[in-house]
Amino acid sequence: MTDLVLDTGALADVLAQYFQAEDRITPQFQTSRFLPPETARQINRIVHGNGRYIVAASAMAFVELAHKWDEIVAGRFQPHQLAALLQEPPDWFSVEPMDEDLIPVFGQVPPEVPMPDGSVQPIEWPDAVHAATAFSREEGDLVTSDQRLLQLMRLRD
Amino acid sequence: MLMRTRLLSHADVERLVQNSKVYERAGALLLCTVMEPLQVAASIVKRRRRLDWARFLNGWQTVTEMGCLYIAPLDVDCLNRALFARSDSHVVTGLWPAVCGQRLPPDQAVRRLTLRPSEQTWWEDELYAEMEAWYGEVCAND
Repeated sequence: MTDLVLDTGALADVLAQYFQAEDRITPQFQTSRFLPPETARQINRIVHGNGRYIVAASAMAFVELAHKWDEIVAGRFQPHQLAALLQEPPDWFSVEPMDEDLIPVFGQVPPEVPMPDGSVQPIEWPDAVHAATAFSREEGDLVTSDQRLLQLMRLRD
Repeated sequence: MLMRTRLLSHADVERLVQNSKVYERAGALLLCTVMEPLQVAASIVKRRRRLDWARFLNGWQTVTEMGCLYIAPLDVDCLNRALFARSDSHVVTGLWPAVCGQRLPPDQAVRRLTLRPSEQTWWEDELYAEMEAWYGEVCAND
């Protein structure tokens, strides 16, 4: 088990399911577009666990949600619901700051990553922020469907 | 007399990291958004600067330890304060239009959110306009 840091797509899926859940104290997450079966299981273990691990997202993920609201959120929840969550997040969820402490960790994220097909793909700064947020956790993994970030996390392991 | 606040651009932050005393005689509180050091760091990581990472990190550590610069973070308090449009009675009516739309560069969205004036921010409202003058046009919806 580790902390799970959600990228923007995964965050949108988690929030959509959270806002639709009948029991918001201990919601049960299901597989969805950005939540593979194993990830949904891990999130449920964290939510129903003893509080040692958390589900987190960088504050940057919320900026990206606003940036592409119609495309990513697609009517699954409303701004006032998001505001309520930010005002009082559940115990198992944390919004990780983009602050001065992130800067040294940001430098650990390479500017590009070698892919299995031999190509080299760039890592843009917003994606590097998600990776750095995962790196900054003592035990943290990144939930993403971005092949470049998945490869980055594989190479780090 | 209140001390004025000086907003630093990313170029100013790069100068400060290389010489922590460069603004010693400015007679002002120094403020930047978290986007400024992040932008400098991103440029160094991509090797678009002559400054190398070790030197940057060393200078950055000096600046943060000296406490001479307030780095406005993008955190949950900032999101609560700035991400939403609210009615006069503080009811959320939607997202703040100034940070919506895919044509807005994400770095500018971060700057707008961190510097958006409110009753909870201590810096002068003019600094937001100053930031817009440096990095982009003031949004018509602001």
